[in-house]
Amino acid sequence: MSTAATADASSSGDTTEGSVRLLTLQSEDGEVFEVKETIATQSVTIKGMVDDDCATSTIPVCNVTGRTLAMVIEWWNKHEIGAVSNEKELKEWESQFDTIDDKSDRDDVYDLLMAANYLNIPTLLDCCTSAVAEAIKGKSTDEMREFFDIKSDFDEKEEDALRKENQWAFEN
Amino acid sequence: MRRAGDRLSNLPNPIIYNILSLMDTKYAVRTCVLSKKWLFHWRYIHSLNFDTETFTKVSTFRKFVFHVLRRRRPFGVRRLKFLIDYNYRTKSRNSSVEKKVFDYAGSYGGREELETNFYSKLPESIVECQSLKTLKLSTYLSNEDFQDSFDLASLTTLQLSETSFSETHNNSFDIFSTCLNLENLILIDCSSYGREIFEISAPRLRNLSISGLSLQDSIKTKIVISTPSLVNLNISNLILQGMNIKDVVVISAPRLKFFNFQAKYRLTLSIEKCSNLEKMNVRVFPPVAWRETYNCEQGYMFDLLCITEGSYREKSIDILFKFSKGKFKSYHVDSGAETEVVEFIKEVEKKRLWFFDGVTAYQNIEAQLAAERLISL
Repeated sequence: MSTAATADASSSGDTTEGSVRLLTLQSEDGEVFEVKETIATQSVTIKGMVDDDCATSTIPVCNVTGRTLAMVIEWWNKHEIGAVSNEKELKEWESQFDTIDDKSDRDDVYDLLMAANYLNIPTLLDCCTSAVAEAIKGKSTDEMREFFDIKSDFDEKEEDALRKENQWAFEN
Repeated sequence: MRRAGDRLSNLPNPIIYNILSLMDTKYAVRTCVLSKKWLFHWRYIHSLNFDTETFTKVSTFRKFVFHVLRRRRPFGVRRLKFLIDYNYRTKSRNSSVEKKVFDYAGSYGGREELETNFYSKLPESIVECQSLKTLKLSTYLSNEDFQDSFDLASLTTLQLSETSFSETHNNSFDIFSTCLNLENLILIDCSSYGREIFEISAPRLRNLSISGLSLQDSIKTKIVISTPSLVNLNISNLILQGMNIKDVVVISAPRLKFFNFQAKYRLTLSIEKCSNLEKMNVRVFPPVAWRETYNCEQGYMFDLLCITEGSYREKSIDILFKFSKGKFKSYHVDSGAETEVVEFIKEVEKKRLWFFDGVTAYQNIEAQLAAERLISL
């Protein structure tokens, strides 16, 4: 069990009272997380399952590793209504996802994007897409290829033709 | 489990379209040469962001815009950002680009956000858009234009920069009264002419930020914020006509929690029915020339705070006055675990601290009392 989920379960104190239902999520690599229903329903996908009464047994979260799922749960905890007292504090916390200059940050953001896409978590999706958009902005083609590890499969002629076709985008 | 290599290109297409929709469209188009996978991605962007700032030549900007409109897949534009700078306006005799862009965006439904500094009348296809939720305008508008043009009832976010609210027949006309679903209102460097009362009373408004608002052509002026759902309030840079004690800001917001106020001039701040206020920060920094004025600091104290009603459970009030060079007064109220209130006034330059029996002072925190205390100092 991950630390994020443990902290959540022990601090909430709701587990014994039964007033808040716990959902069991299982990551692709078999890690199991217990999460309050009120928090997990920030995922539109999970909310749909709960509404349809399909969330009674363990919910498999395909294509999402335990490591990523723990980050997602941390996101949910921060974004639960009333968890953070003001918007500014939340924005500051979110700002850790803003820069993806490090390769490891980039990998985290890709993982989170895939998870946010699968689980349909609009707030997380928005945050991660804007981080990537920020990184693309203002970079030259070569810089972009290097930064994102993109291999060009155009030959020189093809690329020149494309640049000519879209020339106004490449002028400064 | 980490996959190496080019993970960006392997993201699902809708995510890539989302990413490309967030940036200036010029940068989105540039991605077409990255690799064959990227060739057509930009054509599926759901939002258009055009800004003359990213172009040095007007002619290039025009050609670029036409190019994008021709090549993009024909479907709804969710967000349209269209910003043209002053140079462009003076150089461009005809407005064919503007018209083309707005007509294009208007020809499909589903638009949610519009940001522009378009300076003449907006086309009907844009303003009649029922789905519009966010509107950011920095352009001249008169009251009538504003209320007649837009279906304000559907807006949740409205940002107005450098907007003038013109004179009306009615002295206290509330321009935002038709914004029934408005949750966020941002006013930047706006001005209002010829009315005594500038009122904001949108019923669902949660966040209000006013940075720069000038009220002109009226002998006495009053800003009334009477909002049942307001939680966050930021006010800075008010420029009121009289700069005298008759200038009043009245705040009546039962759900208000956080309030930041910055002022340069002397005015009366009247806080009514704000029983949920938790944090209040007030900063009064008059211009240097004013700070030396006789009795200036007393004047500020007199006028500043007038809490007129209800029980208050502020966890902290922090008031800072700068009234002469290098010298300021700080007034701090803090409620601890047993709701004990400590209040002190310090003058930093003289290194003196004054402590009071906070509870009584707190309960009677009225302009008059605060003033008497200051005189006795």
